[in-house]
Amino acid sequence: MRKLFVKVSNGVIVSYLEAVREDWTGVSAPQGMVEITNVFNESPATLIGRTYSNNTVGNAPQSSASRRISHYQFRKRFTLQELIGMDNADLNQNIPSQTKAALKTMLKNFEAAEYIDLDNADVATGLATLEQVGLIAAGRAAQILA
Amino acid sequence: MSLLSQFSTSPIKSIQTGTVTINGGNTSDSASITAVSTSKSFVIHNGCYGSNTALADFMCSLALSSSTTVTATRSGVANTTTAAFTVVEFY
Repeated sequence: MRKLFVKVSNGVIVSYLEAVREDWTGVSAPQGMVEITNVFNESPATLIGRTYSNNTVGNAPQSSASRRISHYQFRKRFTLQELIGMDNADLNQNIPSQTKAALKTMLKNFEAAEYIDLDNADVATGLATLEQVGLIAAGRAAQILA
Repeated sequence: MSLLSQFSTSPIKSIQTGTVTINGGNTSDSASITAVSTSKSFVIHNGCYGSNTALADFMCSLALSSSTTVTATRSGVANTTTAAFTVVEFY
């Protein structure tokens, strides 16, 4: 007999366990997990990221692929003035040399990435750094990631 | 009829598949499973997934750390990485 268990955090499924055993007598649910007793015919892997409440699994989340954009599409989220400031940060005497070095490394990572994932923590960190050094205004990071 | 009950002479008592995620900043994290006998069980590593580019952050090992826990361990700490596993228990 097959049973499906999920771990739920803030109403969202964060992991699953699919278990098959002939005899469930005396077998408890895994610690911190709840059993889905409603019929669920999809692959358990699709459970991750979906909402869960009252033994009901919510709709599949928006595909993360839609939050992946090209380098050009990412640059188009900045104003021309911001792009000029970032592209010529080396010439900016108001930015300490150590920060310039960090920006250079971030730029290399940006160029090395196959695509820009707007949900990747590195992207948020990079934008926060740009805000800190004044290359983009406060609040722009959130707008660019939206 | 379950897969196992079709083979009443099967030496396999249970099969469990799931995932374990190591959160950013951690080198190890665990996932819960239903109780198994550790001396009669083994873990199959079904691969990792995530957006890490550094192998130290992406790759992890898996171990049956207790009768109800599978633990994933990596050498890096950046971002999250997730590993899929299968635990097979024999009679």
